[in-house]
Amino acid sequence: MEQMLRIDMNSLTARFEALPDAYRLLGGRALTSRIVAEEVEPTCDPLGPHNKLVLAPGLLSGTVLSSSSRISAGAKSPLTGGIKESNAGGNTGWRLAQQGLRAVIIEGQPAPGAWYIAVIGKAECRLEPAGELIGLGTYETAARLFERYGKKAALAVIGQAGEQRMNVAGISNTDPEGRPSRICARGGMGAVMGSKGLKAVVVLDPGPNVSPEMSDLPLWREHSKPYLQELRTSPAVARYREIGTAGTLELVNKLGGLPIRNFGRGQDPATEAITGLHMAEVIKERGGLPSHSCMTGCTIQCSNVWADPAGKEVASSMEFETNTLLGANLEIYGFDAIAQFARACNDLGIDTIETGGAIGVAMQAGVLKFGDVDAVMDLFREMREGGVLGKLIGAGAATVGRVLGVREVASVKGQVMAAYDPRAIKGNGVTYATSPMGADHTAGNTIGAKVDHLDPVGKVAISREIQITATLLDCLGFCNFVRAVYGTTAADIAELFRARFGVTADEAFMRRLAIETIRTEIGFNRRAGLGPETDRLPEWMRETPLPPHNALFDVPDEELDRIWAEA
Amino acid sequence: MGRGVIIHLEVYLPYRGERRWTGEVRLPEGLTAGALSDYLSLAEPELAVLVNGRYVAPETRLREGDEVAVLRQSEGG
Repeated sequence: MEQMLRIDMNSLTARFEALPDAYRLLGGRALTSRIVAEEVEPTCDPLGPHNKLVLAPGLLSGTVLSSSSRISAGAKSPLTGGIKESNAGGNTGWRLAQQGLRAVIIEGQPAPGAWYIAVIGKAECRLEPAGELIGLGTYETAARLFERYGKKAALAVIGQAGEQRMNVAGISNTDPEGRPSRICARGGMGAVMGSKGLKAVVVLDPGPNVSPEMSDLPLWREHSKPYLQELRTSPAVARYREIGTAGTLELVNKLGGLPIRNFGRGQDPATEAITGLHMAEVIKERGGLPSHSCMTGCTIQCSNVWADPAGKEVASSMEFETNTLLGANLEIYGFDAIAQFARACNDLGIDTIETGGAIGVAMQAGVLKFGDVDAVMDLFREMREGGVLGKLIGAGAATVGRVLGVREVASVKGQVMAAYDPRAIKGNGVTYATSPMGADHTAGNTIGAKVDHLDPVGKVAISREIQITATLLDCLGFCNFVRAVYGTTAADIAELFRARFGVTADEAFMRRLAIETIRTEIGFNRRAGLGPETDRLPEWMRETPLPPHNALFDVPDEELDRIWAEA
Repeated sequence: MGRGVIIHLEVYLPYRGERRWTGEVRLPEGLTAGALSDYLSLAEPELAVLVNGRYVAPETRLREGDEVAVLRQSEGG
């Protein structure tokens, strides 16, 4: 029998509940958003006792099927004030599903200053004092927990940023080698976990060959094969095994949509120093890992491991968004510097996108100079130690802009945009504006469409369809890159769903699952006070031209308002 | 064929023995954006061909002075 686990941080008790029938065919983002919408008062304080943090693996998570065991973290966001789902790789989703858990609901709040670890095993959950772990970064926290609970456990931990309830704080999940580097990064889910007095969730190894209940195991095995074959042979996936996501930088730079100098321009030849091609070469020269699985069984292997000149590991993973927001956006054009930043962010347990955006705004205000590597490292130290400037950066880009008087903040619903300037990549502008998640590229990244991204015509329809597919993958537990093969494997994925649940999930079912999830999230946001007027890009992006194309965001508001009416 | 057209080309994948190649290239007049990869003997499928910083329809003819970039299609995660 599949279950949910409810942890009450007020009474320090945990109980297992039978999974309600209404939730049986919900997972990942669909389940976190449904539980948040049903159990959390939308106007509550996101860092108060009435918010709830929900962790849920995807519907198809829990086996070694490639790229299928992402973990969703959902709550009311302290960053956006609306509903949030942020998902990540790593092994937490896999282990939770192996333990027969479809969701973990963390509610209430302990006495001030009290910190705990939740240890989850087969039909048991105990809360233990976090003790000496408080004040530690994620790497040392993970090392000590592995020592205590064994290296086969999966961990979801927070760093010092989550302990301080910073809006940029995420929940760091451990990868197959134990690095706490796969972060449910966006929207401050780590701050919510910190507000619950929870330093870590430890999911124990259930033993060999444990999988979730299957309705038809032979059918699962039969349809795993063509899905896997397509992932292994698709050229659209193979490129990630060579240079990961980092190769996107040269594409977006040539399109004139790369955030440079706090979203001040969209292209610069200086970015040649941080292209994906160059990154892959240096990683190979130094003995790092140019490709790497972020979760057990993944064959896409878009992750990587950056090493210093002596071959010592520095950071995993150097992603396009990290290289852009902590590199080009700060006019810092060196991988060794960016890798130091990525390591510091991973150890603090923070979102590199929101943090890079916030630092860019502070640089524009003159608090530190563009290109100043040492000053950025000082900021991370201030964040770790809880200094005022560190706390300001930790509040996110929108707050930094308000405090320092900078109008040019690239955010929607208080969340900073990722590495695609919407004035040049207009479909992503539609996604930023209309996703209930705020400015989140993973909600519907249109960069893969071979269309004129400067032309506003048709971008609402493109964004809508990609948002629907992205949401579906978030519900199933699949990585976003499975979208590259979804067109050719949809029938196999439907059969995998039938093998798992005994239910036929045709195209209409899948589409309905995604759209109903989005509508649930929009409903929560409206009740939280986020009306249609918040489904907008910042005014300055319609007025300030972006070089080199001197582009403005010019998709009409009326079209944005109709996006879900036409779904 | 006439004298052809000269474009500025950037190739962000191995070409002419280099990992990344930039230079002027003379093309036959009338060559289209969609036919460029084959003309250059770039074997990889699904490449992005940008003309003056934007995607164009495959049937678009390349013109004298165009700035053309050929890259691998990719997106962040």
